[in-house]
Amino acid sequence: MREHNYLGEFELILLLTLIRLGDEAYGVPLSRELALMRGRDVSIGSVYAALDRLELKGLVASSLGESTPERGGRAKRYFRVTEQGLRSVHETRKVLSKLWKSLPSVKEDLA
Amino acid sequence: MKPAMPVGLATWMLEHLTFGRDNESLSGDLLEELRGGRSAGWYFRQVSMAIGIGVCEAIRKYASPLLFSAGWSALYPLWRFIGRNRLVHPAPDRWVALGWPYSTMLDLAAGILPAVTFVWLGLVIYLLLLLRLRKTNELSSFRVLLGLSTSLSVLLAATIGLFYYLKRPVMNVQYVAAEGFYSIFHICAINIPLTLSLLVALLSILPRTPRIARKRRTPHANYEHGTGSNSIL
Repeated sequence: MREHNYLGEFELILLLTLIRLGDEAYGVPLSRELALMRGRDVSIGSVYAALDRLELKGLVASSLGESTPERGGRAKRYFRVTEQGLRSVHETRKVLSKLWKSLPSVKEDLA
Repeated sequence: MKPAMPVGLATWMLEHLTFGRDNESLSGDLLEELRGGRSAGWYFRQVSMAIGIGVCEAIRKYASPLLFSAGWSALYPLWRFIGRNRLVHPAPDRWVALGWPYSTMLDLAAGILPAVTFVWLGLVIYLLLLLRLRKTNELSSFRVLLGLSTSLSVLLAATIGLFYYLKRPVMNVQYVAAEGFYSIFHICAINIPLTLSLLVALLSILPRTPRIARKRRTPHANYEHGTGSNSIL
């Protein structure tokens, strides 16, 4: 049987935000977008920790970008979702959709 | 209070208390946000959280080998009891006649043999558990040999250091007896070298987190494996 690696809540949110941001996804816009979507401030350190884990799993890849004076000469790290990451997003979405559809009448109350 | 100095200190802490992580881009992001209008308080909270996350990850990474090493070394009296007439020569008079340094070396080897075999058995059990739980499949025979030799070196060094520190007249691992083993001195004298030895061996054998080499991004790069847009969804 094929082994599935379903994503956790924060991992899924991160991957979707990365896809949404496209080529300009580095720490600052990523954390701003996450804060906007979730309605509360996020710890950039926790975003990086989750991205590092996703990178080790092969779901995300990163590359170093330009360093600017307002960053104290430190390089930006751009993230992007890999093919494998996209597959994981699709699989997780399928499972979640199935589960939502299978809910009894409670679904109207939850909505 | 001027924020410049504390901010510099916080940045230094973030970049040096990394616990194996590369925080350069993270500190760059935080500085960019700070210069974009965020408060110094926000900056310190972010730095504290980032350092805290690094500490938690390091604890999580080393907790299971450390707990196993400490727990396993507490079973040493049982090991001595099981191997009391097998692992140590009951009458080492023959090698006393050999003269120095052979007599001392053989005495030391006989004294340390139960401890070494105990540590190595613990190492094998931990690795078998790991393989059984499928937490790793990257064990190389070179690293296992390295772990075995490291454990022996650490055991010898820790025992010598501890006995020197405690000013024991005779350096002899056989000093451990089942009776009174759990007194403070025995725990210090025997459990610390055993725990250290097993822990260092485990850490040298277990596969390390791979370091990912990151390429420099070129403008408008067409990534081979990346998505770059949401059109695939």
